[in-house]
Amino acid sequence: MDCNNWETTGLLYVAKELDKKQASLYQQHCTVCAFCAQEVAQYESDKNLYFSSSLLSVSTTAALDEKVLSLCTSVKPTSIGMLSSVWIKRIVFSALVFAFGAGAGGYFSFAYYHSKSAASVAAAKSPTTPQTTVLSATQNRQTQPGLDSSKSDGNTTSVLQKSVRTPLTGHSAPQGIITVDLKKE
Amino acid sequence: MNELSQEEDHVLFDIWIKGDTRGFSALYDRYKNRVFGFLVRMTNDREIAEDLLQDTFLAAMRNAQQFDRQRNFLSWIFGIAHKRTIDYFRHVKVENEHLDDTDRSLGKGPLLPDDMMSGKYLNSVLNDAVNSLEPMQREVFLLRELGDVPFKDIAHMMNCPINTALGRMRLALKNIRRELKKRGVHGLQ
Repeated sequence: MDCNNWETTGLLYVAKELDKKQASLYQQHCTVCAFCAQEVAQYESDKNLYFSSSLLSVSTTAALDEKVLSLCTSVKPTSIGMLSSVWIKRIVFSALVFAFGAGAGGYFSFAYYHSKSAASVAAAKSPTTPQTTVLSATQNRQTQPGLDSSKSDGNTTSVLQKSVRTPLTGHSAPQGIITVDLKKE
Repeated sequence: MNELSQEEDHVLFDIWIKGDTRGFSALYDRYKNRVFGFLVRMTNDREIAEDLLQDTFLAAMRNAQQFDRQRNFLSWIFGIAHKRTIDYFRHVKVENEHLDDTDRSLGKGPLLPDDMMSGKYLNSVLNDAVNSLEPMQREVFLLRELGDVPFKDIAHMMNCPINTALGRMRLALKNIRRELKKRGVHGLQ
């Protein structure tokens, strides 16, 4: 009766693909299993008689050898053009990862900057700021009638705030902030 | 394959990779007949096998950087040859045609009486026995016996579990023995 160990272990044993421990276990098995012992002996005999590389090989012709050698030796395996496809894939993959990372980083930094500037604009538009400006503008109105300004550096630019009297309350309200070159003014 | 031979292969490979073509020539001379035997038996067409041999060594040259030093060179080159053969069959789809053409492709003429007892006869019988195998069994048998490719790698190449590869090998051995016996060639039995 056939023993399954021949297929699962015996073939690996005769191919010398078992480690020492497994090989010695199979050898022990062969001492008690006639089928496996017979198969091992048969394989080794066949290997010597028929499965030798000389019997299974087929000789090439001199013309073929010359053709293959001249073709293959015309290129060097270490040249840059001979980069393996695996390395090419790795390089392309790395470049894509880098590009994606740079894109994502750029996007997030832009979004962060945009949200920050939006917050500052919102803060500038909030009710407290114009009132403060109006107050400071009202204080400055005495020195420059008709113009409400809060100077920043006195030379180049200043914030000019036009105040318009509202018809109902008669109070001045900020209409907008305009950057003005004082030298021109 | 013994360890000394593997070491020699690695030395020759190093010579080759450094740009000295003598390393390649030596490796080619060492294994060309085995690889060619595999290709001829897989395709059953000598001309196609010649083209595939050329492709195999050219691909080896192009992919030399991928060679894993833990493996033996012969297994690696057989892996490439196997892939080329599969690619060939995929493109040409002649899997069923090549089984009938054995005698012509291997250049076997009518055997003379003297040949019956010679190595030529044995070679012929063995060729017939190998060619009578199912393609999958023949593939495993040739990879293992000609290419010294480990079963683990054969399973990987054929995209199947190792037990399937082992099962195919068992059947291949059984069928080859049966064929040899049918033609009056006996082994141990």
